[in-house]
Amino acid sequence: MASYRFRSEKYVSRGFKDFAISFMANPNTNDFGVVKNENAIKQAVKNLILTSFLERPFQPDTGSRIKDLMFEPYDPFVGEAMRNELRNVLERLEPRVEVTRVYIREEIDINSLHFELDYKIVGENVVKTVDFLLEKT
Amino acid sequence: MSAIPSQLTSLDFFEIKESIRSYLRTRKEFSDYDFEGSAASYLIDTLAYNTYYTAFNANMAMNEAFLETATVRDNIVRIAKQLNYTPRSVKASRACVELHVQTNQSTNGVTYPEFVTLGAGDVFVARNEADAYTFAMPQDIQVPVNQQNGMAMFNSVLIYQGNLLKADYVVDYTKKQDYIVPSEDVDTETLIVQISPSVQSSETDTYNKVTNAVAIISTSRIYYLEETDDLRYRLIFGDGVLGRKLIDGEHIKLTYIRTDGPLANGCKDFSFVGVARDSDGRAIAPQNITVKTKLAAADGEEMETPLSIKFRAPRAFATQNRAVTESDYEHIVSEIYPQAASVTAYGGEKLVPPVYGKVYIAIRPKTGTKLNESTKVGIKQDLLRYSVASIEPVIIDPTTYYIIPKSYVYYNGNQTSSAGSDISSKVLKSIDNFNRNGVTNRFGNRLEASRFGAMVDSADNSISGNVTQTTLGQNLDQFAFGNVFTQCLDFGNPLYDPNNFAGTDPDGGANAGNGDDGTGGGKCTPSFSTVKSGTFYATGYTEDLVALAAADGTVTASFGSAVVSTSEENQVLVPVNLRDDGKGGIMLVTKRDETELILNPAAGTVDYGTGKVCVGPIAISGTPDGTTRVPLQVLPYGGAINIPPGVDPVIFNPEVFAIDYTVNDTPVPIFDPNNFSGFNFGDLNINILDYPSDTFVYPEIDNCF
Repeated sequence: MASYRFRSEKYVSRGFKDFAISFMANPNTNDFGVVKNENAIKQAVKNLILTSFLERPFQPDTGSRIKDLMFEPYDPFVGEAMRNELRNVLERLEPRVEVTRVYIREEIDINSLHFELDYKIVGENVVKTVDFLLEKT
Repeated sequence: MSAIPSQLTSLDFFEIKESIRSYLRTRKEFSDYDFEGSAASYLIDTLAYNTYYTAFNANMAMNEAFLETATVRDNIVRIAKQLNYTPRSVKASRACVELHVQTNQSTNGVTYPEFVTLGAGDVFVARNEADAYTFAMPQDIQVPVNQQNGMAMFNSVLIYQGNLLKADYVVDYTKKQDYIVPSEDVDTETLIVQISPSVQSSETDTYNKVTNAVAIISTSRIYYLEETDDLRYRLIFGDGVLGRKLIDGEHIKLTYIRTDGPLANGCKDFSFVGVARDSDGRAIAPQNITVKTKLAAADGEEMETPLSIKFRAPRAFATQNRAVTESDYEHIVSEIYPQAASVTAYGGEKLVPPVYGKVYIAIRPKTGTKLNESTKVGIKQDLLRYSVASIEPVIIDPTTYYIIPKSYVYYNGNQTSSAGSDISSKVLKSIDNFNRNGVTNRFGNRLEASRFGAMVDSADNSISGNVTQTTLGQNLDQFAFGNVFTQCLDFGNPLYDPNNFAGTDPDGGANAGNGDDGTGGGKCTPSFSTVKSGTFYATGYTEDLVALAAADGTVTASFGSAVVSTSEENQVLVPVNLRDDGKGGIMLVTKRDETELILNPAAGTVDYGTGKVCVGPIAISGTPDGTTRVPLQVLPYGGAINIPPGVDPVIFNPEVFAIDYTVNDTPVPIFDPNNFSGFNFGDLNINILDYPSDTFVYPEIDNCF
C-alpha cells in the first residue's frame, strides 16, 4: 500500500491547523496565513473538489471530475453525476466529514453553477455548509 | 528533538513524502498534513516532487557519466571517445558487377574511342526479396577501349547501396566551425574528404582518416573522425602539429554514401541507370551496355549498437597500440596493413627448436600470394612502434597448407530426383562454405574427419554416408632456379609408413628378388609412396642422360647412385618428380617408355612419424608454369588433421564422386594407395607412375572486396 495513505490515529486531533491556500501573509505577523478547525476542513473540502485527477504528482486518483463535468451541458443527469462525484471524493479522501446534502443550481445568467454542500464533522454534531460558485470558464 | 527529513536521497516519491511528513510530526505548527485535501498536503507534494526530481537527476547524471551504466547513446559514444573508440557506422551493402560496353566508332569512322568513363553517382538499381534499392559508385571509373572490337570491359566495379551525397564547408577562422557529415545513416568507410585551396580551385588533396597520432607529422593530410550527437559524424583536422592545419578559405568537399544498411543485402541482377561516355564525349546507348552481377550485395550492417560500444570500447582500449599477445599482433597488423587477407601471429617459442624473443607474423595479402620485401620491412618498422622492446617481429610468408579431400558419397537414387552430378555439386558447395568459415579461425587448429564427413552427409537428404580420403599439400618454394637448395616441409601430422604395408618375402629375405629389397630384413620393397611432388626440371638431368640410362641393360628400375650428365651437347632437361621410397628416403624419378627410372635415390628424407619432409640437396632449373614453387603432397595417417602453427590452411581442389548405392554398392576403402591422387603402381614388377600432368592449380584470389 502506498505510504501516502499513511494516517496514524495517534495524530488525529480535533485541533486542525493548516496553511491558508491563498498563501497571503498575515499583515500583523508577516507570516503565513493560517486556517484552523472547521475552516481548515472547509478549505480541504474545496481543495479536493477543485483538484482534477492526475493533477497531483504520482497520485492519479486524488481529485474529482467536477472540473470536467462543468463543461458538459448542464441537465439533471449531469447534476446527478456531479452530486455523486462530490460525495465520492469526500468519502474517499476526507475522513473528517460526512456529507449530508449536496445541492447544485445552474446560474445561467452568469454562466455558473452554484454548489451547496452540507456536511457533518465527524465527532461533532454540527452540520456545516460550504457554498461556492463555479464559473464555466 | 527536532528531526530533519532523512529520506531525501530516496528515488521513491512516497518515501520522500513520508519523510517530510515524519518531520512535520515533530513540529507543532501545523497538523493537517495527513489529510489529502489540506493545503499542507499540496505543499508537501510539491516539495517531495522537487526532491524526487533532483534526486533522479543526480542519479541519472552520475549513471550517464560512466560507460558501465550509461544508457543514452550520445553519452555512451562520448565516454567511448575518451577511450579513442569510434563506433562503427552503418555499413553499406556492397556488390560487384562487371560491365561490357560496346562503343561506336569515333567520328573519323576508322578507330574506336580511346576510353570509356562511368560517371560516379547512383548508377545501379537492383532488388532483393523485400524491395528495390539504388546502388552508388563513389568515383568515376575509366577503362581503355579494345581497338579491335570496340569493347570496354569494366571487370570489377565495386558498388555500394545508397545515395551518393556531397557536402562542403569553407574554412573560416572567424567562426568556431564544426565539420559534421550532415546526414544520418552514413557509411563512414565510403567517406571521401578532399580539400582545395579555394572554392574556385580545381586542385584537390585527398585527406585520409587516422585513428591515432602514430607517425603523424605537421604536414600529414589527415583527419580524425568521431561520432557526435544525433548519430552524425564529425571530422577533426590537424592542428599544425598533429596533421596539417587547414588554412582560412580552404574548401572542404565531403562525398559519402547514405545507406539502408543490411536491408539491401541479397540484391542481384543489377541494371545500369547511369551514364557512360566515351572519350569523344558521346553517351553510350543503354542497349550497348551489358551488366553482369559478379557478387550479389552483401556485408551491409546496422550501426554499432550502444551495447556493443559498451563492450568493445574498453577492450579496444586495452589492446590498442600495444602488441603483447599474439592476437594484439594480428589486430595491429590488420590495422596498419589493411590489404592483408589473413594474418597469423605466433611466438617463436612454439617452433621446434624454439626461437625466443621473436614473434612470427604470417601475412597473406589480398592480391598475390606473397608480400614483397619492402612491404615486409615497412610493416616491421610500423610494428616496432607497438611491440615490447625486447621482442622482434618477423614478417614471414604464410605457409599455405592445402587440405585435399576426395569424397566418395553414397546416396539413395530412389530418394532423390537429382542426378549424381547434382549431388556432387551440392556437396562441393557445402565444402566451399565449410572452407570459407574455417579460414578465419584456421578450423580451430584441427580438422576433424568426422566433422567434415558430417558436413558432407548433411549436404543432401538422400546422402546416406561418405568415405573421404584426405591428402595434404604444401609448396617447395624456398629456392631460386639453378641453385642447389634444401627445404623441409612440416606437415605436422604422421603419415602412412609404406614399410608397414610392404609384406614379408617368402624366402626370408636371403635373396633379392620377389620384391625383396635384398637387405636381409625379410621385407619386400614397399609398393606405394606417401609423398609425391609435381613435375619440374632438375639441373643436370637431361634427355641425353636419361636415354643413356634407359639403354643401359644393367639398370632396370633404378640407378645405384646419382647420375650426372656429362654431355654438353644435349642439354634438354627431362620432367622429373619426387617420391618417397617407402623407407624414409626421397627419390628423384622420371618416366621413360612407361617405365620409372630412378635418377637420384637420395634426394631427401621423410619422417613418417612426424610428417616432416626434407627435399635436397637438389637444384631445380625450371617448372612447367615458370613459378618458383613445386607442390608436394602427402598421405596423412588417421582421420583428424592437426593444423601446425603459422600455417594458413585451405581446403583445396576437393573431388566428389557421387555413387548411387542402389545401382552400385562397391565399397570404397578409406585407405586406398591406388587412388592416392595419381600414384598408381601396377601389379607388375615394373612400377608405372601415373604422374599428374600438371602442377597444382593455385587458387586465384580474385575478390572484388
